[in-house]
Amino acid sequence: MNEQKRDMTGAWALNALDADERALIEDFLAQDPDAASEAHSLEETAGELARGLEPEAPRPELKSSLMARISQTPQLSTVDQDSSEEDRSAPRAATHRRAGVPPTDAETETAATSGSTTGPESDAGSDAADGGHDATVIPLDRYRSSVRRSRWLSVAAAALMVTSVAGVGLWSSERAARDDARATIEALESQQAGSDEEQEMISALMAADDTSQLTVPSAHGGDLHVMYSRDQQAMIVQAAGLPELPSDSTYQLWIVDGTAKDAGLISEPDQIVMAREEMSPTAQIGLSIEPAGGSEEPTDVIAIQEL
Amino acid sequence: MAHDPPPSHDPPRSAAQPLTAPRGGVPDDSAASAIAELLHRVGEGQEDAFSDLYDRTSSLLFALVKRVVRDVSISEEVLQEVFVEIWKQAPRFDARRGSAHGWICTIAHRRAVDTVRSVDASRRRDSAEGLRALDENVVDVQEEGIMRVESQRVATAMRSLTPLQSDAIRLAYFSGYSHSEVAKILDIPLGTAKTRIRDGMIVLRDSLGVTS
Repeated sequence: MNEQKRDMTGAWALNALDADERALIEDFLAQDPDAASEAHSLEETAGELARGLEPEAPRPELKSSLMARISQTPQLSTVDQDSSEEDRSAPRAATHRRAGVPPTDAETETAATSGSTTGPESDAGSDAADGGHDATVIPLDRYRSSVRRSRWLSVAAAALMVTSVAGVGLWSSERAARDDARATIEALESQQAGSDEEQEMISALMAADDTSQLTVPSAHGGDLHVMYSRDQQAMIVQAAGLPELPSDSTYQLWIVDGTAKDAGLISEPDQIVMAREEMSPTAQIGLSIEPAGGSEEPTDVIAIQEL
Repeated sequence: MAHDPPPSHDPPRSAAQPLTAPRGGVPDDSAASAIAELLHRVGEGQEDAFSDLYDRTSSLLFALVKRVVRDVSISEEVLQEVFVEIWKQAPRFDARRGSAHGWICTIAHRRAVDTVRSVDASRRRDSAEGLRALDENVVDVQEEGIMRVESQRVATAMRSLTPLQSDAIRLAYFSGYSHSEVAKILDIPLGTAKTRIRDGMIVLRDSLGVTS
C-alpha cells in the first residue's frame, strides 16, 4: 500500500491529486521522511518547469488594486488547520512542526490581557488530548515583533521620553524595526505590570536563541500561552480564559516526560506561572484539574502538548 | 535579526525583465536569494517589499496561471488571489525548507488548478479537449523562435523524457489535469499514469539539477 502511495509523489508535486488523495498522501508523507523529501524535491522541480514559460506582464492596473487590497488584509498568524492548504507541511513534518506568525496586534493584545476570547471548539478536548493541531508554535523573532507592535501604544510615550533624554534623537518605527529585540525588552521593562521575577524571565527568554511560543488549548475552554527555552530551562505560562473552578479544586501545570513533574498551580483564571525546569526534547506540557493544594501526580488531564 | 535583509547592491529588476539565468543553464542564485529575502520582509508585513516581489515575479506567475487557466480575465483574477495568498502566507515561508521560487510557484499553480477544475469541469471531461491542449503545448514549445536560456533548459530536460512521461507531465502541470484525467486522456491505466508522472519528474529533477 505504501508503495502505491510512494508512486503518487509526482502527482502530488504537480497538484494532480484530488482532495481526498492529497490528504491521504500528506498523512503518509508526514510519516515517511524519505518520501517527503522526494515529494518536496519534485515540487521544486515543478517550479523549475514554470521557468520555461515565456513571462508575460499582467496589466498594470492589477498591481494598484492588489496593493490596496493587501494593505487591508491581515497576514496569517497560526499553523494552517486546513488540510487542503497544507501543501508544504508534509515535508515540513519531517523536521519539526513549527510555523506561523504572531497574532495580529489585536489578537496579541487580547491574549496578553484578557485571555482567549473564542473558546476552543467542541472537539478541542480530543485535539488537546492527542497533542492536536490547535496548538501553534511561533518562532521567537516573530513573537518579538508582535510584542513590540502590540505593546507599542502603551509604551510609546515612555520610549520617546527615554530616547529624547538620552539624546539619541527621535524615535521612529523604522529604527524600532531594525532593533526590535532591544525595543521589545525596553517595552516590557517599562511596563508597570509584572513582578521583577517575571521581567527577568521574559528578558532571559527574549535573549535566548531557542525560545519558542506555543498556545495550548484546554479541553474545558481557555488556553495556555507558553513561552519557553530549553537552553535556559525557563518557561513562562499565561493562562487565558480558563473557566473558574470550585474552591476545592485548582489547575496544575506539569512538565511530562515519562513522569509528570509539578510545574506550579494556577488558581486564578488568567494567572502567570513560571517554571525553571529541564525540558527534554520529548517533553510535553500538561494541565490538569486537581484538589485544592495540588497533587503529586496529575488526576484529570485537560490539556497536553509537545514542547 | 535573523530575517533582516542584507543591504542590496543590485539595482531592482524591472517588471518586464524575466527571471532568467544570466549565463549558462543554472538558475541565478543571487536572484533566487533576493526573492527569498523579499519574501521574508513581506512576512514581516512590509508592503514595499511586497511591491518589489510583485514586480519581480508577477510576469512569471501570470504566465504560469494563464497557461493553466487559459482565459485572460479569469487568469487576472486568479493572479490577484495568488498574490493575496502570498501576502497572507509569507510569514510561514522558511527558506530552509525550499526555494522562494518553488514556494510562490506552488501557490500559483495550486490556485490555477483549483480554478480550472471548478470552473471548467464540464469542458474538461471531454478527452478530446485534453489532446488538443497537448498539441498546443507541443506547438508552443517548438515555435518559440528565439528561446530564452531558461526555456531552452526546460525544453532540453523535457526531451530526456519518454513520450508518455512527457505527455503525462505536460497535461498535469501545464493544463492542470488530475492524474485520473491524465490516464483517461492518454488511455492508460491509472497506476501507469502515476508511475509515469513520478518517474518523469525524477528524470526532470536530475536533469534540471534540483537538489532537495
